Amino acid sequence: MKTWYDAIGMTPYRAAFLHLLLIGIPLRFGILPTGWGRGWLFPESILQEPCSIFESVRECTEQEDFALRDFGVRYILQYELAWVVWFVMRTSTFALISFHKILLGASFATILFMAWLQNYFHPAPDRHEFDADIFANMVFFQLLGAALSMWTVLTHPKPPNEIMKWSIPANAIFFGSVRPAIHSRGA
Amino acid sequence: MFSWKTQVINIFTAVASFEALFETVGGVEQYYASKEVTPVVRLCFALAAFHTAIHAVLLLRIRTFLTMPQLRAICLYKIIVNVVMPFFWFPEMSTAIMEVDQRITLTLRGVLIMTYLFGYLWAGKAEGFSAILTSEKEE
Repeated sequence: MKTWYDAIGMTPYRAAFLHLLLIGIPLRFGILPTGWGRGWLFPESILQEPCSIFESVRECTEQEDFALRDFGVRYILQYELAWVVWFVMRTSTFALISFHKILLGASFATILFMAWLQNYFHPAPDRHEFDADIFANMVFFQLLGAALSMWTVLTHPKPPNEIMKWSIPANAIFFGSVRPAIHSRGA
Repeated sequence: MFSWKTQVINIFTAVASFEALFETVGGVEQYYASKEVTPVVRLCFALAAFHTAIHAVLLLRIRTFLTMPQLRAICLYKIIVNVVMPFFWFPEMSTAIMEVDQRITLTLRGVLIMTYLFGYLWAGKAEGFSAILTSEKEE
């Protein structure tokens, strides 16, 4: 039976690409650009003000600007590593399924964490009205990506139990170096 | 190869940050030179701790789905990032705002770079050992 998934030419590899793209979209317009410090490379005319993620556009203190950029750098380091991992694995369907599971976990954890943040910082800081669109977009795009990954995980075969080992390093060595032919079977 | 020990460092950092968030006295403000911690600073601190935790989980699980040559590529990439980044910006290096012991951050940075260097040099050199572990016959 041909599903919508096949109809638009989706594969686990492309689905992982889409998921990574989706969870990056809200941050692109809010928090992500704040990761780079201003200097000779990124002058103030090019780079957004870090405080622009707040509704009332005003000047942050030096320490608040620093904290925003600090978070941005940590986020960028984590996000680009996920892209490199995606780029590096092309052949193995089984491996892509486990990558999808991690993406699923990360997306749901992010939604939970954002919900907790909204309660923890309630009421909103008076001079800093946090832009509600960022939260709304974030939940929407994370859920979309999670749905895509969930469909991928459910519709693609997982490695049969009899070839799985009962320890993570043993599995890694087995799937990684001993029998690389096993990866390309499902692809 | 892709050492879980550096991820223990990451997880300790994340847990310490989360604990600092919930302390009323001597929490987040101990990391900053000026002791005034606004809600924005706390928000960014919480987000940074969260992403440190996610990063550690991704790197801990990376061995289950990457092959040795792929891990080698990731190690090389991490070495390049860790060597190039200080030329642009590193949060813990600005002494004016953060109040952290530079010796500790330098040591952690050195451990990270050395781990990824060893990972790059040694990845894929353990096929004989892995064959013994899995006791599978080659065809």
